[in-house]
Amino acid sequence: MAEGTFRPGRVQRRLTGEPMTIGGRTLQPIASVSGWIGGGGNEEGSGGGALLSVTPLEVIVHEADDREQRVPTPDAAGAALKGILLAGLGGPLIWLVVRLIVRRSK
Amino acid sequence: MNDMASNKALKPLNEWLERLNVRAVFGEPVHEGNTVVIPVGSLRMGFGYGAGSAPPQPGDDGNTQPTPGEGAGGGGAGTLQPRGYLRITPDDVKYEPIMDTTLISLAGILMAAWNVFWIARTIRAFAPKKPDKSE
Repeated sequence: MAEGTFRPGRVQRRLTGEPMTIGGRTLQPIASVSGWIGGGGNEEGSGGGALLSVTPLEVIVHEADDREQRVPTPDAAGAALKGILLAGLGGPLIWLVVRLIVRRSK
Repeated sequence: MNDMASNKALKPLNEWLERLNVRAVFGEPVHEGNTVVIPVGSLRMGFGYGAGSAPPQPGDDGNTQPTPGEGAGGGGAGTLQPRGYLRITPDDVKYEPIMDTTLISLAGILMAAWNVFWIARTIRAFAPKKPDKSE
């Protein structure tokens, strides 16, 4: 559950879930909420809005023998797409470097 | 902007956000034999709302007329995308990501084509220019 009052502007909060017991283990999911909220008004009217994303971060696992482990829940597809996008910068970068070298050599 | 009005405008938003919890992205456990699966997703959303009314206007006879109109509205959109699932067995707890292979493949092909274009352009920069036939 998120704690405290949200103020207009950037929002970044950690959400901690209720522990749930499964097969002798206790699992506690952790997520984060981030984004922007805003609102305003006067005597004649008011309004508000929000743009938010809720992202799962990890699950804390408490074993029956008191051991604790954290299981992260990364966005594998998102990371792959970011990698591909980054690789796409390689082509124009090589062209830019070669163009600079060719121009200087003339 | 009036602070009190601003706080009033944010009140429903705050009440909604206070109720927001991890259940938005961690699903209900599904039991299948000795294995329990918890679906994991990511949520993105946007919404807005507003309400207003016209202030009381003095009438021709000098008396205040009833409010001529008021209204309220709202709207929103959101997406919940599957990200993976937690597989809980008697031995361990594992997170298995879900990959959209079609999207990844398509992005990879597009990026390869993009890089081929730039590499071809780079090679052309090195290539000697052909002599002009008109000369």
